[in-house]
Amino acid sequence: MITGKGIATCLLVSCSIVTTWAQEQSTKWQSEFYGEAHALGRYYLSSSEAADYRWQAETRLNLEGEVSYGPRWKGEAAVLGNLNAQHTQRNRLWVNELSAAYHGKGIFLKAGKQSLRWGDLTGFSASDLANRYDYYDVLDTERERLGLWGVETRLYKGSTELRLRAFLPDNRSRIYLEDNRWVALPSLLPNPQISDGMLPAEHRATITEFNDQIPMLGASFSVELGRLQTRLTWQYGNNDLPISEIAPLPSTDLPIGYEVHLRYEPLQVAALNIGTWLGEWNIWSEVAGVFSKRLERQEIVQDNYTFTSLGIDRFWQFENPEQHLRLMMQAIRVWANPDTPYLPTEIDHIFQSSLVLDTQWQMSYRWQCKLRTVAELTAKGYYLEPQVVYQASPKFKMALNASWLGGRNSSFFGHFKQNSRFSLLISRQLP
Amino acid sequence: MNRIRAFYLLILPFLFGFTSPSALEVMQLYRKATAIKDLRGIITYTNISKTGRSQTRTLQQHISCNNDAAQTYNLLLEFTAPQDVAGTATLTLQHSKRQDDQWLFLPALRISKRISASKRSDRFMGTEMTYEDLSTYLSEPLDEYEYKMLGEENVEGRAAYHIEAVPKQGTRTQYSKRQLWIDQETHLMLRTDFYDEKGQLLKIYKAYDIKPVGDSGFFRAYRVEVENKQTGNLTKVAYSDFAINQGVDEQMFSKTYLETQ
Repeated sequence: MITGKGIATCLLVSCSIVTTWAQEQSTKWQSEFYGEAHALGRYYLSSSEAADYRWQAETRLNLEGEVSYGPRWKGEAAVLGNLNAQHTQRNRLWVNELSAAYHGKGIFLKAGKQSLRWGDLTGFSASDLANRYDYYDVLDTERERLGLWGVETRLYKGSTELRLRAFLPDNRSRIYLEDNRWVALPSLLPNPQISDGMLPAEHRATITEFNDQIPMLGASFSVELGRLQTRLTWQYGNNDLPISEIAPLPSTDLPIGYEVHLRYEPLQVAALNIGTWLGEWNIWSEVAGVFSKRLERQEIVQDNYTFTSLGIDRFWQFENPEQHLRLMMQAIRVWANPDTPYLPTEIDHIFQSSLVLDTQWQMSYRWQCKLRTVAELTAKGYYLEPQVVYQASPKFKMALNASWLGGRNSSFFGHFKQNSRFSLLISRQLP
Repeated sequence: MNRIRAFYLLILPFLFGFTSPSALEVMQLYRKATAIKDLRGIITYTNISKTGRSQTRTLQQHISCNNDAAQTYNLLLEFTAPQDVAGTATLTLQHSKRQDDQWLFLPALRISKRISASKRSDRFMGTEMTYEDLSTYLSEPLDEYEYKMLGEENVEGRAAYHIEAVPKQGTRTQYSKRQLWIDQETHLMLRTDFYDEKGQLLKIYKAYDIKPVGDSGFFRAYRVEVENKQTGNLTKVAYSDFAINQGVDEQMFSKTYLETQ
C-alpha cells in the first residue's frame, strides 16, 4: 500500500533525479556568440574603362553563433549583412553558414552550409581554384568566402586521415559583370559588314549554362611518415569561374544588344602535398595536375597543366614579448602548353612562374606591419601590398593598406594596374 | 645499557616524527600533488611589457596523461578570446624517449600544420613562461635534479619549504639552478626563482589563491605571476573552471579534432 510518506519520498527522489539530470544537461549545453562590424573605404588612383568610380565604400555586419552539446555535437551559424550605397547588388543579408557537426571516435561528420577551403597548403594550392568567393573585389577575397551546402566526413586514426566531401552542384561564386572595375564588358562590337568597323553595343542579358550539373566532390588522404606530412587530394566539380562568350542579339537598332553567356565547365585537380621542417623552418610543396577548359579562338578547348609549388615559412619571437615576425615565401611554376599564352583576364592563371612573399611584423601590441608581394616572371607583372594595422583597443582596429599592381599588360597585374588603390578598414567587435 | 637502548628506541619515533622531511621527500610530495590523469580549465593571461603596454588572451586547455610511468602528457590549447585569435590552437603530444609532436592550427589558413617541436627555452605563447617551465610544472623531473633543503620560510602568509634544485650533469635545461618554495599544507609550488646560465636571477614565479578544485582532492593556484627580472616583462595568469580527473575525451588529441574544433 502506497502511503503519503511513500509518495512524498518518491516525489523527492524524482525531483532530485530530474534536478540532477537538468544540471547535467545544462552543463553539457554551451553557446558562444560573436559579432563584428566593419567599414571599408577604397580609393583608386586611376579611372577605369570598366567602371567610372574612384571611391568605393561599404559596411558589413557579421554575426556568428556556435552551440555545442558535450564534446561531440556542435552547430554553427553565420549571418552576414552588406550595406553599399554605391552598388546596390551588394546589399543583402544572408546565412553564409548553417551546419551541424558530430565528432565520434575516429569519425567527424559535418552537414549543412559551410565555409571551407579546398586547398591544404600554407600558401596557394592548385586545389584553391575550387574555392567559392564573392568576386566583388578580386584582390580582397578572404572575407568573401561563400558557404556551400554539402557534407564533409573525416575518418581518422592518429594523424592518418581520410576526408570525403560532397557539395551541391549549384554552389557558384558571385560575379559582378556590370559597374565593376575587374570586369570590362564591351561597349563596341565588330561590324560584320565592314572589316575593322565597330558598332556601339550594350549588355542586355546574362545567360548561365552548365555543361553538366555535377556536384563538387573531394577526397583526401593524409598520413605522416616520420617527419614527412603527406597528403593526396582529388577534387572534381564545376569551375567557379565560367567561360564567357558575347552573343549579339539579332536586331538592326543601335546600340547592338548582346547577351553574355557564362558557361560552367568541369574542373578536376589531383594533388600531392609534402611538408616537413628543417630547424625552425617549415617546408612544404605541391605537385598537382589540373584538368580544366578555356576559351581559345572562340572555341572551348581542354586546358590541362601541371602546377608545382615550393614554400617555406617561419615564426620568430623576440625578447620583447610585444614583437614577433612571420615570414612565408612560395615559388610557383605552372607547366602548360607554351603555345597558348594565357590572357591576363584568366583569373585561374594569375600565377604562372611566380614568387610570393607574405610577411607580418608585430612591432608592439598596438602596431603591425604587413607586406605581401607577388612577382610574376612569365607574364612580367608584380603586386605590392603593404599594410599598417593599428589596434586601438582589444575590440577596435584600423588597417590602412595600399595595393599596387604593375607590369606588362600581358600579365594580370599589369592589365589591371589602373586598379591600384588605397584602402582603409575600420572594424569593431561586438558587443 | 639496555636502559639507554630502550630510551632511544622509545624516543626515536618521536625524533623522526618531528624532523623535517628531506628535500627529495618534499619534491616527491610536490610531484604527487601535481600528478593528474587529466585536467580541463580556462586560462586568461596578460602580458605586460616593460613599457607598460599589455595584451590579454584567453584559452581553453585540455591535458591528459599519456604515460603514467614517464609522466608525459597530451596538451590541447585553444584560444577563445579575443576574437581575432580565437580558434588558433596547438596540439602537443609529449614523448619520453623522442621529440614531442606538435601541430598548429591557424583558422585563417584553415589547415593544421606539423611544426618543429618548440625548443624548451622558447617562450610559451609570448608569455614569460617557457615550454620547459610548463613541462616542469606538469611533472617535476626528479631524476634530473639534486635537491637541497635550505630551510622553512613564510611565503605570502603560507608556511613553505625552501629548496634549491640544481640540474645534474647531462640535464637539458636553460637554468643553472632554481630555488623553490613548496607549500607545507598543499605541497604546491608557491614561488620559484629561476637563475640563468650565468647564475644571475632571471625571473620569479609566484602562485596565489590556492584553493581546492571541486571535490577532486587536488588543490591549484588560481592566480600566477611571472616576472622577468632581466627584461622587466611581466605575465599575469588567472585560471578558472578547473576540472581535474573528470575525464577528457581522448579524441581531442588528434590533428583532425584540431582542424574541426
